[in-house]
Amino acid sequence: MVSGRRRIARDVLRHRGASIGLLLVAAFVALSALSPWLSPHGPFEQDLSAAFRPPWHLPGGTADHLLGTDGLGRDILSRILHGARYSLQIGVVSVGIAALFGVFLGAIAGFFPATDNAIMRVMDVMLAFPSILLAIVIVATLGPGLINAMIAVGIVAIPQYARLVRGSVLTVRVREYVAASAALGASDLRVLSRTVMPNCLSPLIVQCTMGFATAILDAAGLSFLGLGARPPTPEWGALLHEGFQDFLSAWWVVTFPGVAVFLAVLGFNLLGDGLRDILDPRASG
Amino acid sequence: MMAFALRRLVYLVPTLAGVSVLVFSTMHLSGGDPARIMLGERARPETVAALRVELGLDRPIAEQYVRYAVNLLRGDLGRSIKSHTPVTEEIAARFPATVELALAAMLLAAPAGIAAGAVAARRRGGWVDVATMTGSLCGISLPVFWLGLILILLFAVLLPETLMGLRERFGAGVPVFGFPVSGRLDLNHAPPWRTGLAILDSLLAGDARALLSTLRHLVLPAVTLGTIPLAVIARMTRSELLSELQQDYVRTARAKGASERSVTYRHALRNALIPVLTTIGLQFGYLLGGAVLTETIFAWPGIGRWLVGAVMARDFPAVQGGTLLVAVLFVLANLLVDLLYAAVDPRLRLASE
Repeated sequence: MVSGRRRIARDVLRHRGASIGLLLVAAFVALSALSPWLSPHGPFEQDLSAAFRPPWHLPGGTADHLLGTDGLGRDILSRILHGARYSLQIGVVSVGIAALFGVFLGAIAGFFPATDNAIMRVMDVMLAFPSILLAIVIVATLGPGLINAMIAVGIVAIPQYARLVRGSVLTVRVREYVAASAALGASDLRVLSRTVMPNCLSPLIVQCTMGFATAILDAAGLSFLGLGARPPTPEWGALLHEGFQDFLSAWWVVTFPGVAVFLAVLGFNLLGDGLRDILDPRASG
Repeated sequence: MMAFALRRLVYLVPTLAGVSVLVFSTMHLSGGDPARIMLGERARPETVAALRVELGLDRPIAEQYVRYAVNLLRGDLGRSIKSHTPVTEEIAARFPATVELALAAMLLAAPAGIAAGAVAARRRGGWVDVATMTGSLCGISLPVFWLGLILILLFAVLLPETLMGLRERFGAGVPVFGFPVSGRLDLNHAPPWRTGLAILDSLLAGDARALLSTLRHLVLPAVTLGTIPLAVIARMTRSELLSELQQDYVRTARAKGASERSVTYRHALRNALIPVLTTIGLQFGYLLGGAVLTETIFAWPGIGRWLVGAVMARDFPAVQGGTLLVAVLFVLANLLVDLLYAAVDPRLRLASE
């Protein structure tokens, strides 16, 4: 196992896309961990005398506010750095919800044919909605807010995990070593957890990595619409929501938070794409 | 083929029933009294009680669902709490705008995506391939709403400002223009409303100014909305074409002396396009309901923006009606794609028979 892991790590570093992705993801995690120490200002610190300062390189800009300030004189850079924490949290919670329920339902559906139809029909119903719309409806039901937005984004992604795991289980289940394990007297649960699941792991890792990207994007979208994190929370989507009021006169209030979302999402997508090449050579073109 | 189509249609019934249950339950899972939520904390108890009776909320839940389902089958989606007009009318007034935007976005995305994917596959590993694939991965990673804001900054603010600067320097010969950023057309020259599709209506009226205004309003939202489908289609075309190029018939075509160009575009691309068409169909279904963010940014008077408004106002009948419509359209788009697929690829319908 150790040598296998080492080989994967080496392959990631050699893969151009995956290594750039890993770098972006590592930077994102490091910045969110260190944001209280790296930020030049507090995320809520207002200074009305310094409202709408442009970035440092423009006339009127100062090195004190590298990326400028918003209408309340809050430092954009500090707010973006603090926002990274929210996005990381959103990714962990949403992917956690989606993977937990998705893997569970998919494994059950794939392993116990009696439950297959019922579970997959429910998944079909969820897939009948464009994901952002389903997330909006869930938030409408639960009520707006950051926590509910994370839950909604997680629920929406469940069918993807369920489908993936069910598919893997169905192909693995008929293999001889699984039959052998059952013949040796292993319980269903043991067969499922010891022989079937480890073989579904590769596509699942790819899906979770890409899922981080989708979760950050969808949650930012919900916050932008005013259904997720509420101002003054410095979540990236909420920053864009606030910036939408003033962006025609102060371009920097929306440009930089958007770049942050883009880079974080791109990092996870690159990493996921690269991992797919590395873990499953057949899937790449 | 007929049997296949019928069976697929029957499969839809449980899905649609499930969709109706899910949509129905939104009002009841919201915690608390829906009538109270919709009317707000300060509403008088009598008003709340009256709304409860009007919506049938005083009945047992099973009876409520049956009533809801029967009304649905009659085409009655109830009345919006906010505007008191039937939800079907609200939808009918806004749906053409959404269709127009989705069509425009797809007309941009599909040809460009197929072309980019095909070129990338032909020059696999070359810089064109790397650039296209990097570009499409960036496209998938962009927050759509942010892209919309940046396009507004570039083409509605920076472009006219730059042109204005040039005019001051070089005289009045420099034209100054930018792109409008809200709504579908200039209300001063709106064509008579017939189909609801502004482009078609302007053409029918023979009104060139209205047509121009419509097109100018459409450009930025369509580019914004089309970016993700463009990227998805390019990636799909590339990977499908690459796998087709490894098939035996391609080797045969090469062996009999067909040029590489003809092998790629006349033989392999045709087969590769079948799964790409599936993607296009699904993406189109997605655009019809997924334009929520784009419509909000460009104040586009379509279904998406209206739905967000309804969610904000907790106008449950409107939310339910709009969501149901989008889900049904999405499911039907899926069905249509499946049928087309089966029509062009007999293996598929034979396999399931």
